[in-house]
Amino acid sequence: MRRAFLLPNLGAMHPWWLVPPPPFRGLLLRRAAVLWILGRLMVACFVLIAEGPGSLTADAVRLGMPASLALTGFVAALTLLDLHRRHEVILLANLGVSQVGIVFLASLPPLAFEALTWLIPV
Amino acid sequence: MADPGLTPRLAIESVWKQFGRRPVLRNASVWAYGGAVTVLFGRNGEGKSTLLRCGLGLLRAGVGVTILGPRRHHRPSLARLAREGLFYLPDRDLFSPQLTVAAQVRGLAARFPESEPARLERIVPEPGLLDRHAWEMSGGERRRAEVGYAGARAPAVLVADEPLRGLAPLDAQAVADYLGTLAAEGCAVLVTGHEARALLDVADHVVWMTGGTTHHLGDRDAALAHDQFRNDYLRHI
Repeated sequence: MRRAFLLPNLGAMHPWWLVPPPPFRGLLLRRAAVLWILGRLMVACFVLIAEGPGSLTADAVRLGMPASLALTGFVAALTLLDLHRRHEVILLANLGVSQVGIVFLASLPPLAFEALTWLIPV
Repeated sequence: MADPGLTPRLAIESVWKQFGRRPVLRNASVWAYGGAVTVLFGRNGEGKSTLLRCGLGLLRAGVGVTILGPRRHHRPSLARLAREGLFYLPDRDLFSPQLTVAAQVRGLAARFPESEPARLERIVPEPGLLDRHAWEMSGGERRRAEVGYAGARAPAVLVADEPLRGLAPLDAQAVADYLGTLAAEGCAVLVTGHEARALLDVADHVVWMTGGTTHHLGDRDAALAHDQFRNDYLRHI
């Protein structure tokens, strides 16, 4: 009974619009992952320049929570910008994927990697 | 004014838009009817693409409304319109450069089960062409593949901005015929372009954009009989 009640509501909400179909989904996730790596390298460069070579210890891998979230937002915004640059936003919109969906998906890889840096013991 | 005997499937109505202090659109409207091709003509810079982009939510209009089927969209979004059956073909660069066209067609089929990928072969019959990336194709091949992709979506409404751009006359005629076929299969097709001869051949409704507003001229014959349209736009055609 409860299931019958829930399913039509889920259908009306069309939750799939947040996520692009398979080939585009993988592309978007890979691009966000690459941008996260570049973002992390950039952070490491800033630390090196600001505090010298001795400062880049294992502890420096873990950013504070606000910095991790800021990096996630930065990567998601960069991914969206990159999609605009390549005119792919219109293609994805034609597939029913809004920019909110793109930002949502693009924030998943950096969020997962940042969580990993907290889970892996250093 | 819309054709009083028909109900438009897509209506982009009363759009006002200015860039800075320069007004571009003044109460411009365009309608697309199921099973018919509507062609929006106008000189460069008259605001044809701007009207379409405002109507599809890619540009924010000052005033205006988009009506798709029974729904009114005062702040339209292309993603939402696409979910309701519309496909927008921009004037260039539809495809992602990182995936082959065939992969992108698979994505389209995965998202919309009602899509018909076989339609693409009507306009891109060359074997192996779809296994290339868009940047590995010539401009004309890419444009044909883009129009074919739009048709493969089996949309209820197709809005195509200059679909014949950069095509050789023979290919332009083939693409125009393809658009006519889509309309014959029930799609509401709205196109812009300057290839007057090929587009007039398939046009059921002609709209002329000049001075920032739209003039609905009627069918092809009525448009060709319109003195001002002939003198100010068509000239020697």
